Amino acid sequence: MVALFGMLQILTLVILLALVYRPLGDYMAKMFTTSKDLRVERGFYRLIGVDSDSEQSWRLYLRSVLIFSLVGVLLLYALQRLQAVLPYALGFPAIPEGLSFNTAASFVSNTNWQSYSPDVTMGYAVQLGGLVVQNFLSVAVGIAVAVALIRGLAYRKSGTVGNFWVDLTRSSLRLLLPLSFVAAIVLIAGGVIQNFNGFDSVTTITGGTQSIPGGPVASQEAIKMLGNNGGGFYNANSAHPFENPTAWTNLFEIFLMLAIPFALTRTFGQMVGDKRQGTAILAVMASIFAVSLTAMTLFETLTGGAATRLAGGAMEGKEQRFGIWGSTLFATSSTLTSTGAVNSMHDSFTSLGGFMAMFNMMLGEVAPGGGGSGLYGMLILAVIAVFIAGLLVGRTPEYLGKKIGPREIKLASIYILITPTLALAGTALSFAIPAVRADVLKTSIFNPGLHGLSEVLYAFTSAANNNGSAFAGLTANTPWFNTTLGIAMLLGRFLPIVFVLALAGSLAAQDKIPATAGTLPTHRPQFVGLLIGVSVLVTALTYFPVLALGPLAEGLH
Amino acid sequence: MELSVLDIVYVLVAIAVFAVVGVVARGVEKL
Repeated sequence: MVALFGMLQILTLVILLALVYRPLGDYMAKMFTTSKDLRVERGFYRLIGVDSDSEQSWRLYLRSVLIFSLVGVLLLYALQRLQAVLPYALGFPAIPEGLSFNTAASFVSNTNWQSYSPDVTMGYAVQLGGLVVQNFLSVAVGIAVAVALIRGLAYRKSGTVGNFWVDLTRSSLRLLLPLSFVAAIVLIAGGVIQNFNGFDSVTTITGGTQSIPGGPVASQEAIKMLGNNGGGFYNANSAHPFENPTAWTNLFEIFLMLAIPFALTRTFGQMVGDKRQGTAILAVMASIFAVSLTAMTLFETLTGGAATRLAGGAMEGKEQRFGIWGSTLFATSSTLTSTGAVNSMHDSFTSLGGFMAMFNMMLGEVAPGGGGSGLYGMLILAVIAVFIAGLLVGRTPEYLGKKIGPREIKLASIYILITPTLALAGTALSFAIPAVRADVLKTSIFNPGLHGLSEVLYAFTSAANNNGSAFAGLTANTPWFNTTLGIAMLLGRFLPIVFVLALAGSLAAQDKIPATAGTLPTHRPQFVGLLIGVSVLVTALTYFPVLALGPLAEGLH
Repeated sequence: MELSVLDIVYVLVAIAVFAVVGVVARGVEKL
């Protein structure tokens, strides 16, 4: 019966996603290709001195992304440090320096890693004026970069890839704001709280007193999920009953996580003038998602020893109202996108279930990935796949009529090396530097041995891939982790964007070459299979040694 | 609230990270 309800839940989700796929994808394509500006947009462009009719080269587009994001980090840092003197601070003091840096890097990079308990650390001014603002803007940046890459594939002999300020404004005003508003209303109807009550003191049935934190949760929850942000209003994130009260809100939150990333494949197909290409990318993403979900659900249901099986599954760290299926569906969606929200504690998953969560992030979060970042990550892998196919059968590598030459393949290759380098180097340094190792073992790790390694690996994998979910067992609010994870989040976000935009510029400058008998069709099942293989193999080869030392060794123990 | 040494350090770290990204972008042009 549990399995039947679980499968019905998945079926409902698939139907919901299928219903919005086409209209949402087409809407975004129209939004990014129309030359008409809304009145409010025109006013905004005048204010910041932007000519919305002029497009930018990839260099200028990148410069705009970097300057905008650096200013975002500095403003969010300052806001946290000034919390004590801000209104609606709820009496909370200024956020300490290291934590402020970590949080600023985290929210601007769309990671939303939280080394703190938000409900007892952040007042409404920081939550609403800083964190929620970045929840909108950081995902809008990701979508903008993806659209620039699509333009690179669609344009011919062009020196431009679009206008960052226009893409950012349209994503925020025409897509994220209205959808978040509707989503927040649905969440409120589902029981998620929305108030400015601060802390309510209540008397419990045993006569004690308890402080209940209220807040504008639904409005934050909507963009948290829709924008693949993941930073919760409460420390328990979506396991908290005020953030995610029922199985229905749980399903709706999962839907919000997946709607834009999947629909962007339709946008891609529309913008390059061949919807089949978008469908092929969708098929790759959906296949990886389905296999990952099946594996994680099986691991949580069937492994973990006799006691777990007698209990009907690994329920430690999971909410009774969601059960195993509601938890694994959420965890798979959260770690295969860049959301990182949790409705169950991944640290309590079976070792192989936890391995799946980690492996999902190590895939680079491309199935379907974060808003924009998932699509551009998958398109980079498509470039690699086309190149490998060219090597295998002696065809000239080309994708959508654009030649994949030495420059393109160098850009794509370096792109896929960035996040593994950050994740593995960060983990290694945490144990290789004697003083740091001593501090990590003393302060941060309470599960020494294989599981301790998994916790640190998970943290750096989550940060470098801009996921933000935590294994929950690691104490990360330390100078070492606040600083290094903050740097990993920023580099993990913006270094790949350099290569994506450079690739966009390189492709946009080319003319389209007509398809010949030697052209590899990239809309057929054969290519879908190849791309799935490339995605998984690249990850497996990169991370297998450290996975063997951590979760795999633990699972086989 | 007073500005601390750590404030300056972390602001410089943030700027340095973006500067590194900028330097990489310069290098990418030569690829």
